[in-house]
Amino acid sequence: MLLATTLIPYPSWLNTGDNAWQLVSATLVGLMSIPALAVLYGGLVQKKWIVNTMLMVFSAFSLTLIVWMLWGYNMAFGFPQAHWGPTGSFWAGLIGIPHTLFLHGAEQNQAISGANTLIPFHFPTATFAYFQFVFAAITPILFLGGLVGRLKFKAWLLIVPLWITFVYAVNAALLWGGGFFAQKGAVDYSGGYVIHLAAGVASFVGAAILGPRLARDRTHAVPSNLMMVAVGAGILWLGWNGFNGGDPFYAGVDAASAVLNTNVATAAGLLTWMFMDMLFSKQKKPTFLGAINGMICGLVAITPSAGWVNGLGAVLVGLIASTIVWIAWTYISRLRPFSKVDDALGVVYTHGFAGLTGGLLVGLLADPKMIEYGIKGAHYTGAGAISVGGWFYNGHSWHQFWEQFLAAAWIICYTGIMTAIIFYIVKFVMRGLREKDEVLEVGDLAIHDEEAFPVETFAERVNSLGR
Amino acid sequence: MKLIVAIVKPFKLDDVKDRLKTLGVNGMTVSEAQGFGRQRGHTEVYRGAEYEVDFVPKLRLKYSSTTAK
Repeated sequence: MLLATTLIPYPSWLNTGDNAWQLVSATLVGLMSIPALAVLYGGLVQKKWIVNTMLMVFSAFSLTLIVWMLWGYNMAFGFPQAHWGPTGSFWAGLIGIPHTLFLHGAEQNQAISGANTLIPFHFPTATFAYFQFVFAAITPILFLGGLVGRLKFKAWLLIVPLWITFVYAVNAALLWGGGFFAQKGAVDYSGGYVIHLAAGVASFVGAAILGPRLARDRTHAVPSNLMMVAVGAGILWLGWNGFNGGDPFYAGVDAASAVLNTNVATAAGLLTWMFMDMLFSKQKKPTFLGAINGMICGLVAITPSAGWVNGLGAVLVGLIASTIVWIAWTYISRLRPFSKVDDALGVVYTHGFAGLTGGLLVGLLADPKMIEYGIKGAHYTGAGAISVGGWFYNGHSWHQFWEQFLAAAWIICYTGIMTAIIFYIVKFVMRGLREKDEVLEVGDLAIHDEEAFPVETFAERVNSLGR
Repeated sequence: MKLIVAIVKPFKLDDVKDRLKTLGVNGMTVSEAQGFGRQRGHTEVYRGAEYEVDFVPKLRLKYSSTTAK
């Protein structure tokens, strides 16, 4: 049938390459939570905690998306922002005005955000909101690693929406949504601060308030399945191609640089930890779980700088971060307050220390010739191009380092205080944050009536065979 | 007729089984077991934490024999 008008598949502002890459990136990042962190954490906890850990991961992912649709996205990235104070002040762009993403325009209109007013986005808000959601979702899932093995399930269902609303959305707006630290010049390429440093702090503070796992569990805390750790870690590594590769928001040169740099820093981080184990650990042996820790250090540390450092910078980021975290893991963990807090899976080290190191390294290693957004022409460098300059490349100026330091101080203090407040509120509302000791002794079976590896031989159906 | 129970190291199973066959034993049950004796346990290290593992894997053989050995 001949139509009087010609149909077009997308509006004029949409770029198919950008939109496709952004949706693929978002999906890759989503895979880092489910299944990657579900099976990575499930593999690291004791056998009796696998189901509980996995369900907390999947329910946090779901809860965050509902919060995101109702108010979270617009709090973090909504545009224009709420004017809580005079323009340019800390309060001016603290958060966006909370409202839903339920009307058609909120999905199909061109994305617009305080995060990037330099060049119009070439994809719709649905793409941007989903991309930003998967980052929000992974943050509580990361700090869950410090809390597993004693946290009350119902408490978790309340912690996640409160933390997304009062911690994540605020940090994201301040650093990414065009808020105070973004205006001041602190940068976080894809979440070394907003996600990893914040997750490390929340894990530590949360674990401190929650109290330790049972003594019996701590003395027998062997991982349930190293092969599942390998599956999770592998998806985590390659999922990070979306985590960092998606953050220029255009499928261009800097997306490619960010992907390559991410992998280079990760390889360097993994090898550094492995060699540290072989040279300096008590047993002088390479360990798989050590190598995976190093891998995560590389991934986390390159996150704040992925598209702003050159290849040498990426190697150094992986090497330095992995070394610092290895030392922290081995020695600082014996000192107060670290020795007194049962951060079950060590999130404060592999995400907190690594995120902080990576964020500060931006101020040293960012190469201003690594262009995120250019000026027209084949090489597209030139006055006005957007890049970041660290101490080594900008005439030994400490300016960027100082901005990075201030933003880190904010993330640590704000996240620490707000996480504590949220945990105490939840403790009050839920009458305690911990499952009872007799429940903790049993684990999955007591909380969910399920176990990770049921034995068919001993299980006999009680109710009739129809549903 | 005697019921004989033997605990052996896992990699010794083939030798024991073959030898018993030649001696006329025509059936046995094997189960996995953990045990310790003079042979010492070992240490496992996960994420920097050392765990002492006293028990080592063993196989428990059960067979019946009509002749006293």
